Parts: sequence; structure tokens; C-alpha cells
Amino acid sequence: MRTQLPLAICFTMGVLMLGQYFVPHAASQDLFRRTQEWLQAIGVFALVLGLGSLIHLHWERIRRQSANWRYSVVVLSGLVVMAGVGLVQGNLQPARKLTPTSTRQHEDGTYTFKDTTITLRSPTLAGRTLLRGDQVHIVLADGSTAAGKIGAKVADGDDGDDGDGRLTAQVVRWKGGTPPDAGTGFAVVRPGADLFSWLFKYVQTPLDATMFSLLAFFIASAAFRAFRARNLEATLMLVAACAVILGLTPPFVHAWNTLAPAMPGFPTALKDWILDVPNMASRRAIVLGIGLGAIAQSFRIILGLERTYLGGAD
Amino acid sequence: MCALALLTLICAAAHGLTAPTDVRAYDVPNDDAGKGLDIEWAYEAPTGETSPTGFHILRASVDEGQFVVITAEPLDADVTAYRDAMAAPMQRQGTALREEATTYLYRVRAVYDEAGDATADSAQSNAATARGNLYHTRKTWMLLWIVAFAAVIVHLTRRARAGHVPKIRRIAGLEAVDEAIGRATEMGRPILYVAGIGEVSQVATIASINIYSHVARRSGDYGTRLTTPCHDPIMMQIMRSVSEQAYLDIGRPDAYNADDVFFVTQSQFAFAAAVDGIMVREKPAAIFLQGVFYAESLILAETGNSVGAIQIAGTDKDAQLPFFIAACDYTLIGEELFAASAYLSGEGHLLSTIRAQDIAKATLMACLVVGAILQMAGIDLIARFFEVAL
Repeated sequence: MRTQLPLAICFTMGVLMLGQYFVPHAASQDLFRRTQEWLQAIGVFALVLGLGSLIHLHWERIRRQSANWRYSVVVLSGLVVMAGVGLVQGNLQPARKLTPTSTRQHEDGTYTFKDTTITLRSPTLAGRTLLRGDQVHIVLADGSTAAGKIGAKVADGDDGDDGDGRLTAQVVRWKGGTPPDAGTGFAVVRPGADLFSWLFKYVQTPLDATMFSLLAFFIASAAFRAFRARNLEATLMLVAACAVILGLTPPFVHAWNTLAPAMPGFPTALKDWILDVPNMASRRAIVLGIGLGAIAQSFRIILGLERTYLGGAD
Repeated sequence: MCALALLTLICAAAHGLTAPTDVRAYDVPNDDAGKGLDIEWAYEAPTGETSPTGFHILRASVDEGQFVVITAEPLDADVTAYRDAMAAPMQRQGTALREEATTYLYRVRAVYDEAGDATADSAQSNAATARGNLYHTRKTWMLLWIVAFAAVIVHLTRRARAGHVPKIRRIAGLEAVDEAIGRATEMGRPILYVAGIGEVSQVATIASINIYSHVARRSGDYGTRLTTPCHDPIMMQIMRSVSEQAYLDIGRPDAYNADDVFFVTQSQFAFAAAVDGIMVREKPAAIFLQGVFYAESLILAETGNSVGAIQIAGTDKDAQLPFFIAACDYTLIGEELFAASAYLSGEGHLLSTIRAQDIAKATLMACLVVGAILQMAGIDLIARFFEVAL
């Protein structure tokens, strides 16, 4: 039972989702959307378990003062501070500076403008953006503030939903104050967003950028090892890599064009040929294999041939 | 209403202006009704007469019957088709479902001067309604392909169960799995398994879970510690379950330690930093990087290389493969990752799916060759058959 029930669910949902891909009807799209939402809901429950694991692991390290336990203090401190600030302030939305392009005054004295600076996959991504009905403070051009709402009482068709579930704009509505001139800009601030935004912008983002920037050095060290001409294949790769690098280097291309006017643009043409012909051919072969492998794997799972991922016994 | 249209036609004819003809409106095929309606018409100016400067589209709902111009600017004079996206029914709030669609009629107005005084309207089109379609006709080849592929898999699986087990080539990266675990055991250092930063719904992540099961069994057999940091809490639960089962299967439930499979973070580079830290501090002798990887692939692989671990990587992200090939000892390239569970288990019915994969690949290659030859001969039959419509 422990295996049979998940297998039955897997088979049913697998066939259903496979069929869904071939049915463009709105009901089919809605089914797909709902399954994605279920996945998100499951993810929330699993996150609680994940957090439990994280806290337990690091708390035990601190309690036992095992090796490198000080790192665990940093992890738990970061968790407590970020979660605490987010919970106390009640939002995860950074303040956003906006430039209204089409502020409109309505008969009831309210103003609206369309914010097209965002593209969101779904309005259900709570905590990632301002959502319909959210209360905001609008700091106007003259420094005064007005209380407003996102997308409140906005007629259908004016909410920026382009029909495929992707929001391309949100309408901000407020009453009172002096509307700013087009192009001057004003801030839309959800109350109490500042500390969390600050932590995100000035702590997490630079740390992420630091890790990402390590990539440049790692590429150099990996390339140094990979490009050593130990055998024929490695030598071919070294030659191809040099040709591509030189073809992408403007001073070399310029020097070539000056010294060999009979063959202008040769390094660029060679680089393009390497990337577009042998490189693209091998890449497509890999992608083809990946696609077929993924389909075969999916069939193994849907048909119940592959069961390891279930973990449990029969 | 009809009298007014008739009057317009008579006026246009009196001025020698030709109206568009054969106006047809129909539902945009293969959509959820969200693309609206397509309108097509014909226009042929009699020889020697003035040509129009453009066309306007007029629309009326069948219920109201009042035609209004829906094009802000005239369409170019050489255009004979228009898509009216506004005829699509509204989407219901918070769902992908749509309201009931309105049925519309159309006219096409030929405009003969910039002021818009000299015009000639066509007769009205047929009534058309935007509807959601039940089958995407331009995905037929995919459906046929999947059905054929499934049939081959089922057939070969049956054959394998009857004793005809296919042989598959040796995959160096998978042969090295036991060697890597053995090396870690000899050195008395742990094994690090990273299942990438993909979600469990991704096929490569599931392939990684299957490999993990094998690694967990072997490490349990040898009594070597297996550390598994997870990027996704759902993955953590699954990996724990798979690991626990693996230790149970080999009769060593006592060797299972839930704390060795732990959640780190869902932030991409924070995860990379944490795993790098584990590599540097614990100095694992064997590192498995299997699953979905993005920019962090080389950061992890180079750090693993720097601590002297034997590294076996595998991913379905072709952009990351060169990094793994450069920095790791063995790399499962794309399809090898998916073949891993079948290869490692050695079970005939699983190996048969790899044979099915090879048959599909050979068929596709034949299609590519024949299609390329036909294309050079000016026949685009196969190219059109495989045209992708999403």
C-alpha cells in the first residue's frame, strides 16, 4: 500500500499532465495552474520541516560545541534576524521608486497610474511583490503622502493581466495630494518595509554577488587545467578555445585586419564558424540525448518501472 | 441597420470605390480562446481604379448589431488579415478559465483618402465566437512520437521480462561510483552528495535521487559517512526517506543518521557557499554532483577539486556540462544521467528503456538525414511535420 498508492497517484497525474499538454482549452490550463499551486502549498509545509532540520542541526552543534560551532551561531543569528524583521514588519516588499507615465484623475477625485516596471509570473507569489488590495503610502512630488491601494476598484481589462496569468502592470490608486508631473517619479512604500529591504539589499545581495564573482577565477583555473595539450583531443580543444578567445578580442581583430588586409575579419569568421557549426552540432546532439533520456525516464516513472524515488518498500 | 449598409454600398459604388469582399471571421485555432478571432478578406481593385490607402475593421456583437471601428489606425493596403484579440472572452479572476464569449460580426472598410471621407464597406462576415480548443492540432507529431516511444518501451520491457535483456555500453562515470566510495572508505573520509538546486518535479532531480539510492547502499555497506546538504526542503524529506530505505535494505538501519541529510537554504549562492564550506572543512574523499545545476556548478566543482576529492558529476543542463567536464574526474553527459538508475540496478526491464531510447535516437537521426536531403531538394515535408508550435 505504501508503494501502490503513490504509484497510482503518479500514473494518474502523469497521464493527466501529459494529456493536458495537448489540450489548449482554458479548463486544461486551469488544471495545470492548480497543480502548480498544490506544489507551492506542499512546498510551504516542507519548508517548515526544512527549517526544523536546519535549526535542530545547528542548535545541536552549538550545544555540543562541536567543530566550527561558531559558524552555526552565524547561521541561526541570520535566520532569527531576517525572519524576525520580516514577521514584525509584516511584509517582504522593498520600497520601489516609480515613474508614472499616465497618471489619470477620475470623477470621484481619485488618481490612478499604471506601473509597468514589473513582470510577475503570478499574483499568488505572496511576499514577492505588492499585490492587489495592498495598502501603500504614496510619497508625492511635493513631499506629502497619500494613502493608496494596489489595484483597488479597478475595472477589468485595466489591471495589466495580459490573459496568460502573467501580470505586466499593476494599477496604483490613491486619493488627494498633488499628482506628480510625468517623469518626476514618486515612491510607493508599503509601511514598514525599510529594514527588511535594507538587509536584503545591503547584506544578502552583496554576499550573493561575492559568490557569483568567484566564478571568474574558477573559470580561469578550470580552463588552465582543461586546456593543457596532453593528447589530440585536448590539443584540438586548446586550439579551438584560443581561436574563439582571439575572435572575441577587439584589439586582436583590429591588429589582424591591419596586418593581413587580404583576409579581413578572419578571426571573427573563424570564431563564428566554430561556435555555429561544430559547437552547435555537438550541443544539439547532447540536447537531443537529454530530451530522449528525460522522456524515457518520465515513462519509467509514470509506468511504475522506476520506484527508487519513492523511498519506501513494497 | 441593413438599409444603412445598403446605402453605404450604393454610395461607394456611385463613387467608383471598390469594397473588400469575401470577409470571413473564425476562431483562432489551437488556443484557450484567449487569442480572439481571425478575420480575412479579399480585395482586388478593378484595373484603372484608385487603390485604397488602407483598411479599417468594424465589429458588432450579434446581440447589439451596432458596428464600430476597432482599428485605431488604418491597416496597410496590402494587408488582408487581422487578428482581433479583444474578441477573446475575459479571464475569470484568479483562474485560467474564461467568461462566456460574445459572438461577433465584422466588416472591412476600404479607406481611399487620408481624411477618411471616401470609404467602401464590405458586406458583413459570418458570425464567429472565440472558443477554447480541445486539441492542439500542431502538436500532433509530438503526440504520435510519444505514443510510438511508449509502445516501444512497453514492448522491450515485456521482452526483457521474458529474458531478452539488452546489453548497453560501459559508462565510465557510473563504473567509477563504487571506486569513489571505496576510496573514501580507505581514506576514512566522508562522501558528499549534492543533488543540485532543482525541484523534485524536474526529471534530472529524480534521476539524481535514483543514483543517491545506490550511493547510500554502498556507503552503508562500507560504513562510510554520507553527507547530503539539500537545497529544497521537499528534496530533504525524499533524500532522508531514500537513504533510510537504503540502509534498511542492506540490513544496517543503525547506520542511518537523519542529521546527515539536512536542509541548507533555497538561495542559490548561499547554498553554493554552504556546500563549499562543507567541502573545505570536512574534506570529503568523494563528491557526487548529480542533478540540476546552474551558475554554481563550477564554484562547487572547482572547490571539490581543490580539496582533492574524486568527483563524479552529471546534469541535464548542457550549458554547465563543459564546467563539469573541466573540473570533475567523471561526468555523466545528459542522457547518461537518466540511464544511471537502470545501469546501476542492472535490472532488465529498466535497461530495456535505454534500448528504446537508442531506437528513438536512431529514428530521429534518420529523420534528420532524410529531412536535410529533402530540404536541399526543395521538399520541406519532414521539416513541416516536425514544426514546433507551443
